[in-house]
Amino acid sequence: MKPRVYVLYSPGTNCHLETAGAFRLAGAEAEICHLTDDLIAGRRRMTGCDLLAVPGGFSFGDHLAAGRIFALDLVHRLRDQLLEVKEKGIPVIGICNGFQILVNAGLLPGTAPVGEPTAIVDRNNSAVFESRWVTLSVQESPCVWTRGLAGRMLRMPVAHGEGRLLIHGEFDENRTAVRYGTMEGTESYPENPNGSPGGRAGICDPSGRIFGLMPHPERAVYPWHGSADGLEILKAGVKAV
Amino acid sequence: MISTFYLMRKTDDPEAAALLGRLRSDGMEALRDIRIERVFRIESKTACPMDGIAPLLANPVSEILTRTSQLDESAGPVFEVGYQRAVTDPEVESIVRGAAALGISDVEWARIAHRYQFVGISGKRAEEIVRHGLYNPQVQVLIHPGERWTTLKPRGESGPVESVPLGGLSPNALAALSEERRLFLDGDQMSALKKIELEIGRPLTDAELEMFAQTWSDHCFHTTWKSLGLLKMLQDATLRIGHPLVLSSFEDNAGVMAFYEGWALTLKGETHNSPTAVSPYGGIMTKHGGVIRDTLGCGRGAWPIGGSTVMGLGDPHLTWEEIPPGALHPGTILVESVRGTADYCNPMGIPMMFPVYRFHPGYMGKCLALGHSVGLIPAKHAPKGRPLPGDLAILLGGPTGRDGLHGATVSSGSMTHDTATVDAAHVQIGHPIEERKFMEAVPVLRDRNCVRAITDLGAGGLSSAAGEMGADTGVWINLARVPLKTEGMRPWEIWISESQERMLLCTPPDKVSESLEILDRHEVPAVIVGRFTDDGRCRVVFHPADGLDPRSLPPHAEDGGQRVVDLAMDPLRRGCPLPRIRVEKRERKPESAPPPGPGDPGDWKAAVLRVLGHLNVCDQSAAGMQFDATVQGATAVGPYGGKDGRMPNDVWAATPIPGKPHAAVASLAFNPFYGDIDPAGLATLMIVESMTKLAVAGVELDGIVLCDNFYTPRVTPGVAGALTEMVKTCADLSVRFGAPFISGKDSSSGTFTGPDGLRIDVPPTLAVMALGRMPDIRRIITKPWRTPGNRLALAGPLSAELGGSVYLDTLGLRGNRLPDPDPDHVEAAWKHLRDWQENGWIGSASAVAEGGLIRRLFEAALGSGFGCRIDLDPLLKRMGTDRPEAGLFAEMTGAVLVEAAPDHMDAIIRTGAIPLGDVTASETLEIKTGNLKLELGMAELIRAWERPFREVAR
Repeated sequence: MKPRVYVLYSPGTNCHLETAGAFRLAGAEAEICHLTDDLIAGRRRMTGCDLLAVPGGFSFGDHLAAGRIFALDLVHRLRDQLLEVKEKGIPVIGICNGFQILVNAGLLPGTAPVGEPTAIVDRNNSAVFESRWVTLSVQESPCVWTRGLAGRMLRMPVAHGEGRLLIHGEFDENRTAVRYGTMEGTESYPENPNGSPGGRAGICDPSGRIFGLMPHPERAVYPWHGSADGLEILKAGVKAV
Repeated sequence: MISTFYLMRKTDDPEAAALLGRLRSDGMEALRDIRIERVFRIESKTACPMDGIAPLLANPVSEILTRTSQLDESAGPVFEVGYQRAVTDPEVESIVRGAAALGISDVEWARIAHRYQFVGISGKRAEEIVRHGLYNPQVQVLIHPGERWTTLKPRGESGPVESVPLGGLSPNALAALSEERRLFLDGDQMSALKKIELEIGRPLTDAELEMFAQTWSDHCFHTTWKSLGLLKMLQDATLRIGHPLVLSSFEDNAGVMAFYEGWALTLKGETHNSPTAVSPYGGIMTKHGGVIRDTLGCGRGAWPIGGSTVMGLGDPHLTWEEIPPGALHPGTILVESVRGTADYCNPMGIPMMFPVYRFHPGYMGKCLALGHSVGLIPAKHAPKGRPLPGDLAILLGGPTGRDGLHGATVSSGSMTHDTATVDAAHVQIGHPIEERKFMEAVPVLRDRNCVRAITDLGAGGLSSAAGEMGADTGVWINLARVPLKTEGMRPWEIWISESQERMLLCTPPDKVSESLEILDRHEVPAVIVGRFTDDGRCRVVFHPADGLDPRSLPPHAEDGGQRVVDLAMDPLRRGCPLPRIRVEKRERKPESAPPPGPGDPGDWKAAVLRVLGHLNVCDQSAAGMQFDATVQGATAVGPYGGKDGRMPNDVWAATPIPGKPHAAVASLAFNPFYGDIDPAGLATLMIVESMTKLAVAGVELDGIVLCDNFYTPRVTPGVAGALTEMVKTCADLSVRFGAPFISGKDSSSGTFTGPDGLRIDVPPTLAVMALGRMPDIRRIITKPWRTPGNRLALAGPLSAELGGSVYLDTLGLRGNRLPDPDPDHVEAAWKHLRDWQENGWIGSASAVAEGGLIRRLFEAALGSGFGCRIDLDPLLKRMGTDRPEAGLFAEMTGAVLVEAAPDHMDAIIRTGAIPLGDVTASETLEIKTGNLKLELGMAELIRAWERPFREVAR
């Protein structure tokens, strides 16, 4: 049986279809799962899947702050399921807006209790939306979504206005899974499109099973779109089930 | 009860820093600091607890939430900007939802404002800054300190349906009435209405009058075009071609062409010039929202796969003093339009195909604001849907407000220096989240056969959508069922409101509950507002007592209520008297001698730098890269590509069927200069340019369709002559090439009139988007050079004519003649290209257009990191000129720069292509002609190319 991934959808999510398509290519069964009509209405539970993907977009119009309304629903309306997902170690990936949601929900960096954010994904240094291709260096990290890829340089697009990851307090650098530009990570523009300190493009939680990143692996799964590197990340996640 | 909260950043605020930087670099050195505070006003039954609401409003890591303002008023003047009372803040719904998630379930309404504090400058100076750039007076207001509200909900005053008797009114009185009500109806049209009044035996209601004004406006009825017979000319050409791939043309919201494996592509371009000229941010959002809905409302609902933004603007370097009263600064329109495109298209999740900004002094008064939308639809759902009597009309999307009244009529009138205040209501701010929600639901509705017909609400609002959809059957609507965002709207306002993000769905009765379930699942508000009938009438009532269950209509819903509209469809659709327009043949300008060319190598280099740094040619990625180009994961060739990802591409290509390599390929041609010289020539060049770009990419030559967007000044005999020539050329050439126009739009409102008789006309404008298909994206040909040592040649029709070129523009000249490519020669070149592609000979290729050959050499070098060694002499000899500037700068549309391995180049040359030289490994363009030797280092060229746009677009 293929592992099943739920790709979460809320109004404003706009990368769920290609994310589901990319997961199918990576060997999973993918289903779009609506935050309101499936999860909050109680028709499905987040724990009914083997992998969870929180895709990109502008959930709820990014009103008040990118990802905040979605995160409030996760934390306050679906808390039990969320804790169960963590406890069961269901691999979770948050891409772009999905990453912002996981940070807002306190799942990443993931050292404080759920619902208590300890980082922000802030406005790009350029103060505008950045749509470009970037190179990511894969770090040695506990992240299951990059397992076996350490040392690789991966090409994929970014497209965001708020991608500068600012972590408050202690952070174990080993949990930075991907950096912009070089192995060490660069802070220079445009290789680092948002000015994220240390060139951090994606981090994982202490268990390594919850991963968030600003770049879009699901947009780089066929060579004719410029790169199929993103598929490697999704495959690693599927393999980690 | 209203609770107020204030929010500030703890540390650095990137938004404030960016604003400070921008203002200081605009010369406001005295400004030392800017602080931005957000104000939340929340209306709930009981006081809103701060601890409870904090997680919704503030991020504890970076922000502080308080009950009183955190700004120290003594540090500098403070201005507070919020939405007008009648306008709903976009974020209200999210605040209500978020509060409920936190257990605060009695929140009814909310409003958000921004407080700006300026440190180091006077209150007067600060107010100027706020008024110039920090708020949009069309929808926002300055909130005065101490202003107290009893409710945050939108307020407004209502009134009953009124009768407007026309009988007995003199022509002057009729004209005054048209003016006073902003109907923009001319004398003949007002007289026709007087006759209709006589026929129906009662005065028209205000809503009926408004409906006639909207239906008969140039914007909706195309009176100018119809009077000149132009619409029919293009449609006839398309019919004559009878293209087997065309599934729908000119009858629906978009045209449709067959794609592969049972799918089809839709194409539409829409201008939104008038609102954008007055309020660029809102106008641009409305432009994108509208053309995207044209895709959603095509056939039984298509899925948007790509969009464009194509702007024509005045000179952004002018000082404010040089801008006539009533017009906005082109630089402001540029910056605001970029922001509007980013804020609409990115949330929509539709990849940007072409971000194009072109400049011409004629666009100073009224800019061009064009957007395209390309969509994907199952071919079986492509035909335009038609309601059957008994079907229900479901209004879906956002609520209806007073915003956008009179958009159709104002955009048909010409803009004057007081348009900005008198017709303020016709501008609005888009809410992409509303539209994105139903974009998601439309394909689901379609695939579950819930859609009998679907259309968007744009110009004319419900009046236009319901009127057109029900034209062949009849329709009954109860306006009391329409959800409002402004309290107390009058029936006629609800009927013609142009509030965005709404669509009208026609559903068979047995599919209504399924449709509503699908819409619910996608959180799309939807209400049954009426039904389609068989009486051939448009009947509209305001009847609050019909039950008002949004999900069903009571059996006798059609009885009772206040009569708002009760008219036969016929006079509405066909009764409009067309203006009599005199057509004057354009006089050809006499030929004149071209200016002397550059002299020594220094002059030549300066000329090249000027052309590459011309605003219409240079790097526009400072804007273009703010738009998501890769969302949907199907983009193969986006706006930018090549080695560093910054070379502008000439085509856009995507593979919209998941997992399949079948490609939709599009190109765009838009030149603001050619129309100054010869409107017919402009049309030829736009068609040849757009199609040649597709031929170069490798699309199927017998599978190309076109979309036209015309923009001309308010009609005069001369304008009518120019327009007729343009359209006739389009019709003839589309037949000649077998490439039909399948959709388009005309706007005859390109005139600005200022005080003291000042009149600024746009240049005769035509933008052509060409759309084609290729079975396998892996065979696409792009611009960057492949291999040093490969040879270069120029194929296709040549021309030494510099008229209309960017080169002449850099000298302050326009010229008198345009290149005139021979269609036979053009087509022969396409066929040769096809052969070379199939033989696998071509390394890279690009079609010459604005900027001439030098631009393509530069871009191909930029995209590859290579250089070239060029000998211009064989080219100049074949062109029959001794003027090297013609070789480098002439915009010989139809000509193609081709790269091939030496083995294959001989065969290419034998077909008549001119050898140019070689690709080299050094980042230099070496160009030789006669005794002249130019060595142009790429680093210097790049500097000249990347700066000019960045400086005006920040």
